[in-house]
Formats: sequence, C-alpha cells, structure tokens
Amino acid sequence: MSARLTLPPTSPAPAAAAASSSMSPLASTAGAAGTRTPGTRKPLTLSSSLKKPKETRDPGPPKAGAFKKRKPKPTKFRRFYERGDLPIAVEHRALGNRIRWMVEIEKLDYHHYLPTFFAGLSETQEPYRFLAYQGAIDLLENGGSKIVPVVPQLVLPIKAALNTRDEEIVCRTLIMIQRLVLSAPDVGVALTPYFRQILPIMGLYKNKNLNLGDGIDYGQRFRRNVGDLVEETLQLLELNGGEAAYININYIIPTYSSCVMN
Amino acid sequence: MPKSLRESEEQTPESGSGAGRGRGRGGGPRMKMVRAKKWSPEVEEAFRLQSVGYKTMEEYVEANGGEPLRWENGYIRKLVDREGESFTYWRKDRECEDKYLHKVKLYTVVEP
Repeated sequence: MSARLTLPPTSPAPAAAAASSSMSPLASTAGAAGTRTPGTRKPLTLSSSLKKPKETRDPGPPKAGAFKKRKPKPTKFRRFYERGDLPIAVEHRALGNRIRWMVEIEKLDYHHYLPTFFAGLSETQEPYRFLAYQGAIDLLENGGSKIVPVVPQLVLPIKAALNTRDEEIVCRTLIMIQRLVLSAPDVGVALTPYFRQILPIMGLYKNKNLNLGDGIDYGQRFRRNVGDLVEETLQLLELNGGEAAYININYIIPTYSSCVMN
Repeated sequence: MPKSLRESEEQTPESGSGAGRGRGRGGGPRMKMVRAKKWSPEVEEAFRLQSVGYKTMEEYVEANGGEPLRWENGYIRKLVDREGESFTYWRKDRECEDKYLHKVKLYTVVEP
C-alpha cells in the first residue's frame, strides 16, 4: 500500500511546500496550520527561548490634575436670561454685536444684577457668554459708587469662574477683576479681605507663560496669556488695595514681588 | 409740462420731490458722503451714532430732543433708540476698530 500525501484544497503547491520546509521554525509553525481557510490566520507564536521578558513600567504617582478643566455648572445668569428676567437683548449689527438695555442701567438694582452678570462669566455658550461679559462691563462702567457695597457678593462668582480652570474663562475673569478694581476708587480696598478666596488660582497660573525665546507673540492684543494677565491683575490689586494689599498677596503667593517697593 | 409750472416747482424745494435746488431726496439739506479711511474722534462719533441707526448728530437731536450723554473726553456714553425703548452704552475709549472703518459714513452738508 503506497502512502499518498493528500493536501488540503487550500494548501500551497508542492514546490511551495518544499520551500517552506527549509524556512525557519517560525515560518514552519505558521505553515503547519493545515486546515487554514483564507482570510483567517493564526497568530504567530514564539518559542519560549525567543520570548522577551515583559517590561513592567512603573506608572508613577497618579496625576494631581491641578490644571484639569472642571465643567462649569449651569449658572443663575442663564436661568434668569431664559426666564426673561434680565432687561437685555443682543443687537446684531454690521458694526459688531452690542447689548441693548431695555431699562436704563442707572435704575437697576446692583445688589441683584451685578452678581448675576458675574455668575455668567463661567458660561462658554453663546449668547450667555457674550451677554454676561458685555453686560458686566456696562454695569461696572456706569456703576460708580454703587459698586463698592456689592463687592462681597461678587467674590463667590469670581471664585467659581476661576475654579473652572478653563483658560478661556480664567482669562475673561481676570480681565473682569481688573475692570472691577478700576471701576471705582475704593473697590480694591473692599476686595482685600477676600484675597484668600481669589488668589490661590492666580498663584497656580502665575508661571504659565509662553516660552518664545526671542520670538514675538503676535496675539498679545487678544490678551490670552494667563501668566501675563495674572501678573497684571496682582499688580493692580496691590496698587489699589491699600496698605495691607502687598502683605496679603505675598502671604498667598510667596513668589509675587512688589511693583511698588522694588 | 408748461414752462411756468416747472419753474414754480423748482422754487418750492420743501415739496419733497427731490427736484429742489439745495435739498436732498427726503427734503433735508443736500449731503455729501465719504467713507472713513482713518480713525479720528469724528469717525468714532459717527460710528457710535450709526451703530444705533442714526445718520448724524442732527438726526439724533431731532429724534430725541437733546444731545446724548457724554464721557469726560467727549465721546458718546449713552444713546437711545428711535422708539425711546432701549439704550446702548459705550465705553470711555475707542470702540471703532480698524476693521469697521470702511463701514462708517461721514456726512457733510453741501452748500447750495
């Protein structure tokens, strides 16, 4: 009885089979799959002598996430605007969008409206973002002596906006703090007791700057550099915060150097 | 049309037909318009007025019966719309950026 080699219908030609026998053991193990169907291939397996020991990397300590964005909560500004409580509307014009006030600003109750507009600083969605930012600027510019008594109520919305750690929101809030300090003479002094609430996040971003070497930052006019904005804001707080301002700032941000004393 | 009638029409420019000498289409004074090329306080004023829907300060005064509120530096601070229902507030410093310059129209009255 003669032993006859029977090849499966999908196996390669006899010449190819002979060639495969002279190949490395790796290839031969791959070719040994007799009943292989086209399209499905068995993964290559290494013999134990060729296996490398698995490298186990030390993952290190977990990330603290100090700069991680935190999702802002829905603000009361949005709620009030959707309910129709705020006397404002967006005016879409070819010469840039503006806010249209349905009531004169001078007649508004600052204790109610100014904290509401400051709460809207955490908004990133239109039209709330635009309305809150521009509305707060309008209120500050036309507030005068009405602003100082409201300062304690502004601390919480400012803190909430800074705590989102979203750079866009942080920049906007820092610009608004600068405008607030310059809006009336005693606002800076009134803000000094609340440095402990506001300054820690500023300390976090103080050194977040662009390392350009001798390059030029062409986007300076957009004021999006957080490190620069923090430095400007701290200097304004020191200049307008009275005698105790520098000590209080330095207590929370030890790396801050005075712009008056040096 | 007889010649005498044509002459009489020309002598009454307040008729609003636009045919009067020294009068604009709406019956007001004839005006020349140029687009702003460069920023100036006059351009800033025109920009603020035109953003709210007025051509010139004369038109604003006519509609509202008085000059608008101004900042210490002379810039317009607050404007009222034609219906007197809404208010627009303006900043103390320049708001007319260069990108808006070509949209600002400067009107001057043409002497007849």
